[in-house]
Amino acid sequence: MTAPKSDLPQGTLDLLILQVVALGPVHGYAIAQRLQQISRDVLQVQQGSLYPALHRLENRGSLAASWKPSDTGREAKFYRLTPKGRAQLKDETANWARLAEAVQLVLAEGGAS
Amino acid sequence: MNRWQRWWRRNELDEKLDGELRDHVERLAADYVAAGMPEVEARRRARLEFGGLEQIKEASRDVRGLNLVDDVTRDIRYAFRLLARSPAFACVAILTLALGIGANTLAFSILQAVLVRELPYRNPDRIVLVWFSPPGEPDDRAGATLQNYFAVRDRSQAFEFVGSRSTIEGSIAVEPDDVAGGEPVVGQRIHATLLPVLGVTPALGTWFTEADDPATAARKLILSHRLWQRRFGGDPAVIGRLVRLDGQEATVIGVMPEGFEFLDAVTQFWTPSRWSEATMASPSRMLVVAARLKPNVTLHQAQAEMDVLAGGLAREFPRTNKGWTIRLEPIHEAYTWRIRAPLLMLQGVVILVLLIACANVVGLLLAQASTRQQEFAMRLALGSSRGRLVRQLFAESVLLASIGCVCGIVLASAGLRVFMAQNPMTWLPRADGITLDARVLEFAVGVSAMSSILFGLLPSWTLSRRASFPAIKGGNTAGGMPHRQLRGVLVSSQVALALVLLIAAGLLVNTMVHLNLNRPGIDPTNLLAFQVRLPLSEMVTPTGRDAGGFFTMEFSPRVSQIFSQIQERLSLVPGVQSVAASVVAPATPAPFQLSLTAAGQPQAADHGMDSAAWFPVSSDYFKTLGIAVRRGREFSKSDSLASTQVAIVNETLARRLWPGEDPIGREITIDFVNDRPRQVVGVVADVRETSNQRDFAPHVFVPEAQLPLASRGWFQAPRITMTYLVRTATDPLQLVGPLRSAVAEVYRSQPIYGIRTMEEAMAEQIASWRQYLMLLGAFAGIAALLTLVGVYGLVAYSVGQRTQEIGIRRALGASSSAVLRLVLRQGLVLIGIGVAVGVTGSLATTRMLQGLLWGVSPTDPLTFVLVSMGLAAAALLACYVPARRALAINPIVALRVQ
Repeated sequence: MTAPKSDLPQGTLDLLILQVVALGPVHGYAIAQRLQQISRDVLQVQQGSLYPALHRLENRGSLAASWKPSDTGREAKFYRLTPKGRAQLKDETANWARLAEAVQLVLAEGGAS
Repeated sequence: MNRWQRWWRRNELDEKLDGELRDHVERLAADYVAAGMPEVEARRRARLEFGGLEQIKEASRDVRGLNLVDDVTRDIRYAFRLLARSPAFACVAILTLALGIGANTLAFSILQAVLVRELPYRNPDRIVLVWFSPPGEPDDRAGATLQNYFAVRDRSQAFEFVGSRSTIEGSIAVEPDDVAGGEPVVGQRIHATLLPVLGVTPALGTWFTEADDPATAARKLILSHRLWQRRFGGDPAVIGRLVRLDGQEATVIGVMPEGFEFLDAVTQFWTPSRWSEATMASPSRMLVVAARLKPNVTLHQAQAEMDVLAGGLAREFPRTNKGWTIRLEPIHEAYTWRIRAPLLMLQGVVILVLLIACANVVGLLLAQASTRQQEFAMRLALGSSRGRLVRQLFAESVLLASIGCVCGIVLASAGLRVFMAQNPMTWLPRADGITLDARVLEFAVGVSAMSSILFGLLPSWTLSRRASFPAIKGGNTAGGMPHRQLRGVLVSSQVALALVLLIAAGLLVNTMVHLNLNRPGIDPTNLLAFQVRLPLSEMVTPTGRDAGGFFTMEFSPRVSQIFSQIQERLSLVPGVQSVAASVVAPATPAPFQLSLTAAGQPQAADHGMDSAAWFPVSSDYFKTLGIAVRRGREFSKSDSLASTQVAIVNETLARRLWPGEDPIGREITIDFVNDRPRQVVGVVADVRETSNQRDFAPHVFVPEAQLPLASRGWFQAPRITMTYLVRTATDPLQLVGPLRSAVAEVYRSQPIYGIRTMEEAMAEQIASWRQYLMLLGAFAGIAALLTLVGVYGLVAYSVGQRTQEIGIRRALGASSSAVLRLVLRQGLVLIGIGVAVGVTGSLATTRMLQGLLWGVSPTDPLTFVLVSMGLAAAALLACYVPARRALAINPIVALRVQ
C-alpha cells in the first residue's frame, strides 16, 4: 500500500465499468480486481457501490448478463456490453476527455497567473 | 423485463443476487488463500473487506426500482401491526383525527353548496342584478320602478337581455271547488325576458313571450317542479290545463326544472308581469332587475353606463329618481353577501379544531416515539438508512390519517343529517344542495393528507434524528428536553386556540340569551295563530282609475262582517279564552309604515312628518295578546264605520306626539287612502316587532272594521287576509280541529292555513341564530375536549417519564403535596401561557364577530372571564387526574424499573 487511495468522481464508475466490460464477458469480482490493477491500486472500488452500479447498468440495458460455468466450477454471473452500452461508452469517453482537458486547462491557467 | 415482471420474480432475483455476491466473497477468500493465508482467516478477511452484505443487497434492489412498492407495502403492514398492538393509542389518535376531519368536511360541504357551487344558470358569472340605491345610501339594494326597468332594458348597450321580477302571493285552484287552492303560495311576476337572462329552459312546456307581459294578454302560468309534484301529481299532461289563479282563469304553459330558483327558494309559480300604461307611473319599487352582460362587456363598463343612465333618470323622473344611483351586483354576490362572513368564520373555526387535533396526535406520536427509540437505534445499527426510518414513521402517520379520514367522513355525514333535520333552508340560501359530493370528499382526503404531513413529519424528523447509537443501550432517561418542550408548546397553543373558539361561542351564546330575554312584550304561551283569506274576486270590485291613473276599487262590507263573524264563532269553541284578529301577523317586522299628523301640533320645519307602524286589528286584540292597556280603552265590537273613528297609540308614539300630556281624546290624521281623522281612545304598552329589534318603535292601531271601503293601489291582498289569534286554556294545537270546523261554519269555501303557535313563531325568529350557534358551539366544544385530552396526555406522559425521579424524591422524603406540586407546576405554567395568549388573541379577533352579535360587546368582560376561568379549571382538572398517579408511585418499584 504505497500510493494514497482516491475516491472516484461522481458518475465515473459507470464509465470505468463499461470500459472493463468492453474487453470481454467478465464477472463482478474480476471487474473489481481489474479496476484496481489497471489503476495501479489507486482506485479502490467499494463493493457497496460496484454491485448497485452493475445492476443499474443492466436495468438500463447497457449491460447484459448471463450465468455461465466459471473457473471455480460454480456458475458465475458474467456481464457483457450491449450495443447500447457500446454507444454509451463512446459518448462518455469523449465526454470525459473533454472534461479532463478542460480541468487541466483551468488548472494550468490558474497556475500561470 | 419490465418493473412488474421484476417485482413478480423478486424472490428469484434475490436468490441470484445472493449467489453473485457470495461468489465474489469466495473468490476474494480464494485469492487470500492463494497468497498463503489460512483458510478460516482468509474467509473472515474477505467478508470483512466486502462489507455489509445486506446493505449491498438493499442498494442493488433499490436499483431495480421496485423496492419502493415492496417497502411501502411492508411499511403499511408494519404500521397496521403497530396500531393493533397499542389499541388505546390508535383509538384516541383516530377518533381525534376523525373529529377534526369530520368537522372540516361538514363545514366545507355547507360552504361548497352555499358559497362556491355555481348557480343553476347558463354562464352565471355574466348575470348581474341592477339595484337602485336611495340618495346617500350607495350600497343599499332597492328595486326598480316600472319606468326604471324599461329604461334599463331599452337604453343600455351593455346587456344582452334584461328581465325583472316582483313577488306576489296568490292562490291556485286546480279544480273549481279545490279547497287546498284557498291557501296562497308565493310566486313571481316576471317580464318574459328574464329567462334568456338566466339561460334556463323549462323542463316541460314553454316559456312566456313578451306578448304575454301586458295586462291585456291572456293569463299564463309556469309551475315550479315542487308545486307540479305536490298539486298536480307530476302529471305531464298539465301543460295547457286551465286553473284559477286568485279566482281568475290562467293556462299552465310550463314546468321549471327541479331546483330552479331566482333569488328565493319559496317561489312556486311564475306569471307574466301584467304591466299597463296606467301602472307605468307608479312610484313603487317592486321590481328586481336582472341582466345578462354582452359577451365582450365588463362589469366595470356596464357600471359606467348605468351611472350615466341613473343621471338621466334623475332628470327625467325627479319625483322617483332624484339622487338615486344604480349599482350592478353579480348574481352570485347577491346570493352570498349576507352569509359569507358567518360561513367563512365557521370554516376558520374548524380549521383551528383540526390544528388542535393534529397537535394532539403529534403529542401522542411523540410519547409513543420515545418508547420506540431503542427500536430505531437498533434498526439504524443493523444497517437501516435514516430515510427508511422516516418513511416507516411517515407510513404510520398516513395510515392514521387514512383511517381518520374514513371515520371523519362517516361523522360528517351523521352530522350533516342532524343539521339538515333542522331545516336550515329558512336562513341558508341554497341549503337544499348541501351534500357530501365528490368535491367535498376530495376536500376531506386533501385535509387528511395535509394533516398527516402536519403531524407526521415533525415526530419522524425529530425521532430519526435523535435515534442514535447510545439509545440502544436502553437509557430512556434522555426521554428528553426537546420533546418535552415541543409538547409544552403544543399544549399551550391548544389551550390558546380552544380559548379563542370558546370565547367566540360564548359571545354568541350571550347574544342568544339577550335575544331570548328581549322577546316581544306579548305572552306567547297557549296562543295559536292561523290565517284565513277571502277570495279577492268576490270581495273587491274595480271602480276604474283615479286622476293619478291608479286603479281604484271598492271593498265589500262583507269583508269585515265575515271576519268578525269568524271571530265570534271561534270564541264559542270550548277551551278558547279569547280571540282576536289582525291584518299584520304579530312577531313579524311591521310591513306598513304610514305618516301621520296630530291635530294642533306645531310642525317644526326640520321635524318632517311623524310616521308609525300601522296595524288594523279587531276588538279584544290587546286582551288576547296580553298587552297592557295603560290608559283609556281597547277596541270593541261597537267601533264601526258608522261610529266615531278611533285609534290607539303605543307609549312611544304617545311620548313623541304629546310629550308629557294625556293623549286620550286627541285627534290624529293617518295618511291612508280616504281615512278620516281619528280620536285617540287608548294608550298601550310598547311591544317589539321582532326579538332583535333594539328600541321600541312608534305604533298606531286602528279597528279593522273602520277601514274605508273605497280604496286604491297596493293594499288589497293583505286586507282580505286575516291572522286569527286564539288564546286557549291548554295546548292550543289540540283545538285545531274544532277551530277549523268553526271557520268552515261561517265561510265554507275558505280553509285555514299557516297554523302555528306563537311560541313556534317566536322561536323561528331566532332559529337561524340557534342553528348557527349549535354548529359553532359543537365545533368549539370539540376543540375544548381535544385540548383537555391533550393536557391530560401531556401530564400523564410526563408522570410516566419521571417515575424514576419521583421515586427517588419519595425515597428521599418528599411529601405528597411536594410531589403533586412538582408534577402540576408544568401543567399550570403551560395552561397559564395558553390562557394569556388565548385572551390576547380573542381581544384581537372577536371584532370580526361584530355583525353576528346583538346586545353584547365583542370584548364583553363577563364572557371573557367566565370562559377563560371555565377552560382553565377544566384544564387543571385534566392535569390533576394523571398527577394523582404520581402519588401512587412506590419508590422501591420505581427504582427497580431500570
